[in-house]
Amino acid sequence: MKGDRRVPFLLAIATLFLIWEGVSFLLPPYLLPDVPHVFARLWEEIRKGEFLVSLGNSFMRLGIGYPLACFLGGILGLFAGLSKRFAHYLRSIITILQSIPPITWIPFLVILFGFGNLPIVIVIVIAAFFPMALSVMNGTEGVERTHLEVARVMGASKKELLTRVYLPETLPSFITGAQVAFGNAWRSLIAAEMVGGAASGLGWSISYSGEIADMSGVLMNIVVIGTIASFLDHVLLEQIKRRLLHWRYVAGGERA
Amino acid sequence: MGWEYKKKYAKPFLIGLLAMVLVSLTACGTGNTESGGKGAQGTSSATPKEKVRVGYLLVMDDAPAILAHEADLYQKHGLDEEMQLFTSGTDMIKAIVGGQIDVGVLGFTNALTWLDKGADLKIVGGAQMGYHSLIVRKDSGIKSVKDLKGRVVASQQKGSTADIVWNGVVLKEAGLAPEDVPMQYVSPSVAVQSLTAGRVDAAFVFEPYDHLARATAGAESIYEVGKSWPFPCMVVIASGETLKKNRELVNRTLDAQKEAIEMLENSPEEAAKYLTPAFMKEEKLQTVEGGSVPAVQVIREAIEAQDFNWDITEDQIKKMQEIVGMMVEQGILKKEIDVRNALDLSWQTKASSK
Repeated sequence: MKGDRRVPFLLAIATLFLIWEGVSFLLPPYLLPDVPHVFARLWEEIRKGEFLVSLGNSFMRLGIGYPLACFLGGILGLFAGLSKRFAHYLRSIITILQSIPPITWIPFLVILFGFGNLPIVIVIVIAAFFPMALSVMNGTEGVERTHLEVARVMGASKKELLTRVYLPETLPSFITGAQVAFGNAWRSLIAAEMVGGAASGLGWSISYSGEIADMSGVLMNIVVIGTIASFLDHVLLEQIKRRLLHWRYVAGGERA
Repeated sequence: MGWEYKKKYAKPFLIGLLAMVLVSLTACGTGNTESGGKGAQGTSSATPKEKVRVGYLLVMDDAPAILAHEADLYQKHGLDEEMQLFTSGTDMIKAIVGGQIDVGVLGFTNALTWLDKGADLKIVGGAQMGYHSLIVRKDSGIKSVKDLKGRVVASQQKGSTADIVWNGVVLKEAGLAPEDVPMQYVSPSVAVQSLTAGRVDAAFVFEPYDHLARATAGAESIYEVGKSWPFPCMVVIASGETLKKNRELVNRTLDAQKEAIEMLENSPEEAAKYLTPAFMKEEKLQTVEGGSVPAVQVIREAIEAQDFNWDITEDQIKKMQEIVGMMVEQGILKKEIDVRNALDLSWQTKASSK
C-alpha cells in the first residue's frame, strides 16, 4: 500500500475499534466484551494451538476453492469472448444462478457428496465463479476491434488471437474479477462453515461460540476474519495487481 | 443400500419437510404481529388486554407456547399476545436479555450459559421434558446405541442441550467415548435427509422430525433419551428486570401455558387440531408405502410421545444440576453453578396450592 492510502486505511481501522469500545461501555460485558479483552482472548487461543488448526482448515478450503473458481471463470469468460452465442448462453446461466445465495446449496450438496470439505469447497467455487466469469467476459467484449482486425490480417489463428490479443488485453479484467471473487469466496467460506456440518474452521468456531454464550469468542473470530480478509484483499491482491499492471499506475498512464 | 432406497424415501420426507418449511416461513410473516384478531370467547372485554411478547421456536418442544396462542388461551387470561418466532434458543435468549421479548420457552442450558456470564435471567416455570430420539434406517442393522461405534451420527449444534446429553448420558450409558462416534452437526431437517440419503448412519432429533421421519422417510427409533434418563429440557425464562417490573404479566402467561399443557397431556387429539396448521401446510403426508397419512395424526403422535409439565420438581432440579456437571466436563461452563440460583418458582408455588 502506498503512503497516501495507508493513513486513511489505518484511520478506518481505528474508527471501527473506537466505535466498538464506545458501545462496549453502554452494554454489559457478557453481550459485548471490550477490545482489550477480546485481544487478550485471541492471544490465549493462539497459544493453545487448536485455533490455528481451525484457521488452517479454513485456509485449506479457500486455497482449493478460490483458485479453481478463478480458473474456471477465467477460461469460460475467455471463450465467451470468442463466440457471441456462447456469451449469451453463459450470461443467461450466470444471471439465473447469481441470484441464489451460494450458501443455500449446502444442504443439497451435503446430501449429494456427504459431509466434509467437499460441499464447502463447491460453495466457494460457485460463489467466486460468477464475478470472475463476468469480469473476464466484459474484458473480452471490450477488446479493441482494430487490434483483432490487425491480427487477423496478419494471419493469426484462433489460438494466436487468444494468446496474443485477448489474454494481454483482458489481464486487467482478470485481476479485478479475481479481487471481487475473493470477497465472495471468503464470505461464502465462513457462511458455509457455519451451517455445513464442518466440525472445524473459523465459521464453525463462531457458531459454536454463539451457542455457548461465548461472546468474546464470537468477536475474536470476527476480528480474525476481518483482518485476514483485509490483508489478503488490500495488501496481497493489490500488490499483485500493481506488479502485473504496472504500466497503468505510472504517472501519465491512462486511467491512473 | 443404494439409490433405490434414497429415491423411495427421499420424496415423501422432502414433501413433508417442505410443508413444514412453508409453514415456518408463513409463521415468520404472521406470527410476529398477530394479536387480538381472534374472537376471544368467554372474556369480558371491558378491561383492555395487557400486551405480552412471547418468544418461541417452531418445534414440538415449544407446543405449550404455540398452543396457548392457537387456542386463544392467552386471551382467556386477559393477555394480548405477540408471538415472536426464533430459529434458535441462542437468539431467543439474547432477545430476553435485551428486553425485546417478555418471556421465552427454550432449553434451560441456554439460560445457564448466559447466567454464567452474568446475565440477569430467571427460570420461572416448566414446559417440556427432554425428548431426543435416535433414528436409523429400517434396513441399517443398528439395533442399539452400542452398535454406533465407528458410525456417523447427525445431531444439532455442538453445545446444544441435545449435544450435552448425547455426550453426557447416551454415549456414557452405552460405554462409548465421544471419539468412537463421529458427529455431524446440522439442522434437524438436514439430519433426516442425510440419514435417508445414506450420508449418516443415525440421526438424533426432536419432534416433530422424529415422527415425520418415521411416517415419511422409513426411519425407526431405536432409543429415546427421555425414556431412560428423564430430564427437564424446555423451560419458561424471563429476565430479572421483567419480573421486577411486571411479575403479574409473567404469571398470567404461565397460567395460559399451564392450561395449554393440560390440554396437551389430557386431550392430545384436540391439541393436535389446533397445532397442525402451525406445523404443516398439507392435510395429508405421503408415506413410504405410497399411501398417505393425515398430518393431524403425525402431530398427535408427536404430542403423545412427549411429556409436557408446568412445574419443576425437586427431582428435576437434581437432574438439572447433573447436566451442569456435564456442561463443566464438556468445557461449556467454566465452573459449577448452583441451578437453584437460576430458579424463581414463586408462580409455581401459588399454582400448586390452587
